[in-house]
Amino acid sequence: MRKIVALLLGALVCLPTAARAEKERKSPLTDAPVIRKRLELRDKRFEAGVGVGVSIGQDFYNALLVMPKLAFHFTDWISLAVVGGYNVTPNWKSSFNNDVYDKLIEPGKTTIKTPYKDEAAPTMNHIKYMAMGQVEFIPLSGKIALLGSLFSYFDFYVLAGAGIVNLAAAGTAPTGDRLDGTKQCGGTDPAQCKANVGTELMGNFGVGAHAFLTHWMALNLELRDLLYKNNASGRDVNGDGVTDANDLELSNNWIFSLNFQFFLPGKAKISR
Amino acid sequence: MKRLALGLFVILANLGVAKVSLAQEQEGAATGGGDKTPPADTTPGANLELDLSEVTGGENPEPKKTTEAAGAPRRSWEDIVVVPRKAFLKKHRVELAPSAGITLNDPLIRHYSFGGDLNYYITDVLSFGLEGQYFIKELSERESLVGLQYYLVPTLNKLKYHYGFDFGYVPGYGKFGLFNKWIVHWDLAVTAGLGMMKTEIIPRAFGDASFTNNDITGQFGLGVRLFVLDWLTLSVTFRDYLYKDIFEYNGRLPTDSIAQVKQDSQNSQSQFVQNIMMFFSIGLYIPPSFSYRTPR
Repeated sequence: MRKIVALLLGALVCLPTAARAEKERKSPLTDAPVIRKRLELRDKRFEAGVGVGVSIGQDFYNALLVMPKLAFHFTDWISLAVVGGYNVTPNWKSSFNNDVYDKLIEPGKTTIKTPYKDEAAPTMNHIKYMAMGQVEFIPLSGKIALLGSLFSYFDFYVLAGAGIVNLAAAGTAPTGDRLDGTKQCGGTDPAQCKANVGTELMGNFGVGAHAFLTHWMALNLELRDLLYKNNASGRDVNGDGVTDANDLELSNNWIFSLNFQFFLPGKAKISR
Repeated sequence: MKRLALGLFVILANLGVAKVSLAQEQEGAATGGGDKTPPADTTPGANLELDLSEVTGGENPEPKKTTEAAGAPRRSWEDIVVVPRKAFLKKHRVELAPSAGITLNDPLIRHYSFGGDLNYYITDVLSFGLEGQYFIKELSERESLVGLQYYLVPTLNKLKYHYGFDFGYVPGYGKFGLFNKWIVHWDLAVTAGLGMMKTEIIPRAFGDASFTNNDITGQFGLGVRLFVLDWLTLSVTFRDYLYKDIFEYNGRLPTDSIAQVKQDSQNSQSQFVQNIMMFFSIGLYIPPSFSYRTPR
């Protein structure tokens, strides 16, 4: 038994040692990077530009945003960026908004249903502006051949950060009386409807890509999910008949953006 | 006891031999001149003709064999030209690609899809094939809130299954350095196709009968495919399915027969629908290997 143990122990020690000895006989390619004389298009460069972003799947109002972006690349694979966004289409209704609005009752008609059209519309909110910081991690960078003749440098990255979003609504909750004498939803105490407006903190997570048109200019695509607390309808969510902070829920807000970004200094380094 | 001592002696002897062997190796390398790596040239524009990341296809991943005279300086990696070949050939191969997908653009109802594609590549960039998928529906929170907040019940259809005939084209081929340690080859694929989407209305009133639709469906897609092995790829694809669907008639009465409801719906509740979906798929290629037709 002891013999077997000793032999097994011997084998266990010998095998790694022999493998190490083999490993020490290095090929000259051992330390070679997989791509040589590579254009380091991001390393120690600033990136600035502007573009447009569009929201995806917003409940009541879509947003077309003007989105400036400024970044500094500490290395070829990590950078820090600040991004802004201002909604230039605050009245761009989603198809869901149109569908709901069309089905609601005109003010002045008698019904047991609420809200009337003039009560529902003012409390639906939309994105007004946003500002965020993000760290970008760029594990993949390379080239693409399009139609076998057009070549472009490309990179893919993931991004994460935080920021603020400002939400606005078309109006305020109506507080008058209906024809039947009951209070409109904003006039009840506590209010049955209330637009969620103001500034919220948000998380920012997404993916992006640069497609370099020249060594100093790139198309920058980003798809990000902005996570923040919201009650887009400005109406009761939890079923307690009141619209308040308890009705705020964490929401996913997808934004796709396309920017033209300019890199400084204009010339990129070339690796060994 | 003696046997244990003998075993330990064998271990120690092996360790000693290995160390001597390593020491000799290192000494030999030192006398041979060692690695004479020139300093890195970081001048922009220098040696651009040696930009070896060019995507040109028909290239070779193996290093040139070098003959070293005895006593000559050892070659470093900077002295060896490496030009990789296109990593994956698809021509005359069949791709079987099971996939999972999700609908993206409807805030009220979400569908998960399970299915797959079967494609044949006529050339390395052109393919045709079949696609099929089965859907599972999930109503969103927004859908449940519509009733509470607006006293409305949404008119929705659920997707049941889809099948179709597709054409594929690969307009772009690229490669990436992953942390500059590994090269990942990938391509960009566009698809277009025609098929049939089976949908079913979700009656607004619980317990009402439903009817189904067979909708002729056009499809356009854009995807990215990563080449993992000679027979295995991973893909992410976005597809837009376009069809004219029939929804439940707004004026449906409890006494209406389902045939009457379908007829009324067809006349007044037809609507053009755009369903954007994202798919993840695994491509399995048959035959599992390929050979290059051009010399290295």
